[in-house]
Amino acid sequence: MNLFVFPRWANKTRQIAGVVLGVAPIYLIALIWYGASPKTTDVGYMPEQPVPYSHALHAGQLGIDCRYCHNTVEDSSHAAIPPAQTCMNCHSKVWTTSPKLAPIRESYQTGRAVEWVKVHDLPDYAYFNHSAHVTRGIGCVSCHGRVDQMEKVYQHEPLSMGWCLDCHRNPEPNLRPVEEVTNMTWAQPNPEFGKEFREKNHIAPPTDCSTCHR
Amino acid sequence: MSSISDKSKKRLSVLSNASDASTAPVSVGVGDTSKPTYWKSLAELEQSPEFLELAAREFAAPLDQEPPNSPGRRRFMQIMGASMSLAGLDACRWREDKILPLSRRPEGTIPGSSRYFATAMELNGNAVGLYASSYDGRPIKIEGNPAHPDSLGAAAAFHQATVLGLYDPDRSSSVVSGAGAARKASSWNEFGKALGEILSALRTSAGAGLRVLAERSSSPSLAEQKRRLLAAFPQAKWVTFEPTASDGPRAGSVLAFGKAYRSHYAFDAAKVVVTLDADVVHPTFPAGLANARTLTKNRLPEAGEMSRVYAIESCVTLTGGISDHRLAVKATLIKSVAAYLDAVVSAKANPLPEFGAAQDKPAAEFLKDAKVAKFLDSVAADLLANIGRSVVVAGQHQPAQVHALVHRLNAVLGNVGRTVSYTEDTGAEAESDLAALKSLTEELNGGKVEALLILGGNPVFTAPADLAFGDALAKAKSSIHLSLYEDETSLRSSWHLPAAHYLESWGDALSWNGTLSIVQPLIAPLHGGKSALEIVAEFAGTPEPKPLDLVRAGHPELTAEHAWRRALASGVVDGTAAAHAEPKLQALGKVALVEPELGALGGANGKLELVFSVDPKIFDGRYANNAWLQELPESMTKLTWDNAVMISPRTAKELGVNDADSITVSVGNRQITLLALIAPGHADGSLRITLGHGRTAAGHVGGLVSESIDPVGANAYALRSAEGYEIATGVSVQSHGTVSYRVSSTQDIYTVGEIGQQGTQERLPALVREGTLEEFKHDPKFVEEIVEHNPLLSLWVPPVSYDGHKWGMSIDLNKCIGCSACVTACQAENNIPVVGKENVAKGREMLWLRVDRYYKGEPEDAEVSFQPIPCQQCENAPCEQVCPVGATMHSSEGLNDMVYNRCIGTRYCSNNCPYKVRRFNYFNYNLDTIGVTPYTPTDDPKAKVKAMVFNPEVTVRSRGVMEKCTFCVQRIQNVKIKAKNVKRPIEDGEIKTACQQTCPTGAIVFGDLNDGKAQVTGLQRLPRSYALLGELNNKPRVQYLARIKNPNPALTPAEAHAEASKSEHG
Repeated sequence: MNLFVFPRWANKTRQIAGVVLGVAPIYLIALIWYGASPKTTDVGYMPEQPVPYSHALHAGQLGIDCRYCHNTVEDSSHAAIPPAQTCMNCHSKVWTTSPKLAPIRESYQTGRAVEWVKVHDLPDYAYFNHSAHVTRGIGCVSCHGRVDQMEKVYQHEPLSMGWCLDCHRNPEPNLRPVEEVTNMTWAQPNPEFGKEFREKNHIAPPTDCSTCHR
Repeated sequence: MSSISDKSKKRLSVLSNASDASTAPVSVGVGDTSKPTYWKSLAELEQSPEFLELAAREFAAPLDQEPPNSPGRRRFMQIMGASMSLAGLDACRWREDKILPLSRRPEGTIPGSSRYFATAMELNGNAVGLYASSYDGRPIKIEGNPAHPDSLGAAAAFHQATVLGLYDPDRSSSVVSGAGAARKASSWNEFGKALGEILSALRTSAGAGLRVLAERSSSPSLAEQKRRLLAAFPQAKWVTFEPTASDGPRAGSVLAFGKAYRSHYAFDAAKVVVTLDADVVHPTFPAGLANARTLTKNRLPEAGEMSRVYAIESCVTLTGGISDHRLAVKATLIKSVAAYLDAVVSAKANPLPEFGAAQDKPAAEFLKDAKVAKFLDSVAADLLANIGRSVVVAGQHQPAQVHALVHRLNAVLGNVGRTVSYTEDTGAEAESDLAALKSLTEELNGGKVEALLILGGNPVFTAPADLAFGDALAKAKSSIHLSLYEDETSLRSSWHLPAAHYLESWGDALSWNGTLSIVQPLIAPLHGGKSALEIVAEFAGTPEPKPLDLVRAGHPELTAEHAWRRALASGVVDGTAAAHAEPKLQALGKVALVEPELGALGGANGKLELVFSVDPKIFDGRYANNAWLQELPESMTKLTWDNAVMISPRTAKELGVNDADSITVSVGNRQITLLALIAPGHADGSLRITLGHGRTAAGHVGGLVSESIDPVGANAYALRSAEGYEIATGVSVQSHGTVSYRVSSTQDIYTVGEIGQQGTQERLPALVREGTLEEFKHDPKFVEEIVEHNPLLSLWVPPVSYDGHKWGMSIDLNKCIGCSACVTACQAENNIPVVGKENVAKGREMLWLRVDRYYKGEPEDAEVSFQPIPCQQCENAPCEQVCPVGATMHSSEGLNDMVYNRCIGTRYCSNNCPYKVRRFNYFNYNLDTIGVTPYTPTDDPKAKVKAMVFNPEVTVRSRGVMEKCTFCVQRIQNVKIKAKNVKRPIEDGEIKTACQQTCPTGAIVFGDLNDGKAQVTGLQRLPRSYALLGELNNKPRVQYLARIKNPNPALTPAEAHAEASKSEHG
């Protein structure tokens, strides 16, 4: 009969072992709770893009409206990344030989796509529709943050299901007139605005599963 | 916890040292006061070259990146402070996704949405107009073109499955030269050079050694190129061969009218329809989809009157399934039936003298049978009572005399010009396909053929076995086969050319009545294939033919741009339908009836007949590599991945054959061994076998002997010879006991035992409610009263009221013909995987929609009913109540939502479902069959091609997840959002589920039950409407309309009359 006999020094570690065993689960839970939360893993995600396109310059400084490039946002589920053709609308006249724009020019000439990295990457089983939000009065800034100040686009909001549901259950703080959807600095004029807007426009965001999961 | 490591400290110090005015972060933003002491990206932490470059960028920007105001991140850091673990967990992000926009976006293109383009698909020379839905430049769904006369908005299972064939990785992707073992990859350039030599050699003899063997095509452009080819090579010959085409219709028309004519039927104007071994509603019948619609249009009991359909046939066809009366008679006896009908009808109908004398009543054995005589006499009486409002149709594979007799019958009955009309068959050949192929084979054997161009088709596989076409082919000096796959014919040809799929080609085609459709490509040829049009043009002398130019050149009436664009947009060119012809019926003389045609019902071993029919799923074998079609349960047998010989119960007993036995069928000195299935309602003495299975070089799905992949099913072409081409006689059978494999049928094929069968018979009247028109007229509510139940109470508080949309569906069992096009449409729309033969046998099939087939009555004389069952979307769903994780929830519009990502695979929901409409992914079917998922990127080109068939609007499910019909929720959502965006209401019929959209008869209707004017609301209010298993208080949103038949009182047994009168007093 072989019992495992702890070595004598183990007697001294009993108390510490107790503390560790008590704290370890809490540690692990906290680690995963905060570490695996979309607020940690997704917020701030700022991938390298093939072309150093600066929204701060184009959308912020130059004041180009979001919809000039992302022109499908009111008709389709995707606010599509514009084709190289859209860039060449200006860049066939401006900064025509800049090496930073070389991938764009190459794409325009060869017909091969520029491989942009997706920043706001929802899981494939979640189907988000931009037009449903933009045409009802949700501003770009509510989900994408101050893109007009971003040199490189990063994810500003967690875009987790819980975060989406928070607004779906209570859209009032995020509503704005449809004309102000691309206005990054617009704020609700008074605390009653959301409620009135919601009632006037019959805003009733669905919370059914099939709204997004199909 | 360690603080920031020294290494990182150094990096951060580097950062702060490198800071100058241009890179010093300035905090801007609403209430943000964060200090830039932590890095914003891994690139920054690692000081990657890209980051450094960005740090020293071109022009000074006043605003730098402000770090995200993320408490979570800061908090985490404070708790942990372990930067390396931070790095580790931060890498717990899924693989990065790329967005690849178009370089130049065509005007009006919205990435991530689908557009419809009109095109057409030709099969056996008849085109069906289709809408193909293109998503981001690739076609993923086929629908019918409502403007096309042969589609009327419907598409058959074949059409739906062609998208899978388009992305089939087994398609050949290169030119191959050499035959058999000498095959090697080649190129179009090399072929071009070789062709130049072949053609110059042929020119010296004006093309005497050139033969073209082509499939039947109605394409006017191809006809033009054919004309040019024959003009360039006057001695050449063009042979048309379609293995499933029968010569009966053409030859019969010549017998009756002196010229070839095509028949067109207006079933909706007919009160009596008699089919002689004809499956008029089947998609393989000319204008079959349109026939299905018109035939069922006139069978709505609410109209007060219904047509009556008699089917006299050798096996249970779809038409027989919806008929009011069926008579099972061997195919060889149909000629006598036609003669008998002529004799009886002409005696009373006073035919015009120029029609000639009627036939005599045949002295046939089977006509002495009292039941048969009574049946035929009742049919004749019914026909005579409805002069000018009846239709008689002869089956495609019946001999010429039957067709001629039927032409005569229709003329005598005054149907011509009312329910039957004719157009000239201008494209008809002078001789039958078989005769033409025979002379070609003789020429090949005689060494007279220098160059044989085979356009499509697979003659080595499909030619009658006694011709030995494969050996003859080898004797041609050079043989060139243009086909989608390197099939049996390509393996023996000296050149194989990859063909372009119809979704990749320009072309044109005519419908059965001559309406022109332009075939336009939706995607450039994936494998560098070329269409038959291009090849023939090249042969005819055009150096580098452009198919678009060839098609446009063939249509001078469409030269104007607006006319051309209109033809492309609508899919049909108006006014191109052939003009009605008025053929003059000639006297037929006495139709000779020889021994088998005068026999008795049934037959002894050695005297059986064998009917060869086109396979309802894989056609003549060309779709053998199409997994969707292989796995589609065949309408009657529900058999998948196999073919079987069908035998009637009585004959099987006489021959000692049991259900699912392995039997050898011998025709002359040829025999094959295959599965035998007992088919209730099948004619005694007749065997039926479908062609197209047993392919040896179809591909990895259908059979590829060179890679040890067994052929699927048995090759019936091996039994076919020039004699007895459609119907072979003198057939014998030998049973070998049970087959060694498990038969993969989705509906139980084994006998359940007497008590079980009895129980089924007792229960079925409640599930598939049927009645006669008399019963219905007498008491429309009889449908509800079939099931009595206690008042339905719910354990829960009355559910939420559905104030917004209330989705519901109504399926009319009177209209469902069981064709199963809906099943394939659902598969195409919803990314439903294929599971393979073994898994189907285990009951693990994945098709969301199933069409149940029930037999009624005696096995010898069975009636058939079909019932499509999607998820019933119960308001009180048993499945929702038992899901432990809430993966299936009820939406506010009444849909039973299935959330795949939440499902953990307990399968309790499927356990609780009374309808068994839930399907479980036992394995990673999509990954295993396609080879790619979003989480396993692949460079395998084959996998990438296969993945193109997926519909991006629907999640691709992984292993361990339950799935089911969702009422095409993606279509519902898309239309809802579109309508809401512009603030307009949704119209009825705007949302069509995939099954509804493709159904040829319009049996499935989906819509908003809250819309009082919606079609579905009206249908659910009908007295005929009932819920399946409604007594369980599930409150299903799907309701069925009971099947009402219109039997002939003279033919209904006396007991039924007694029943009806009993219920009067009951």
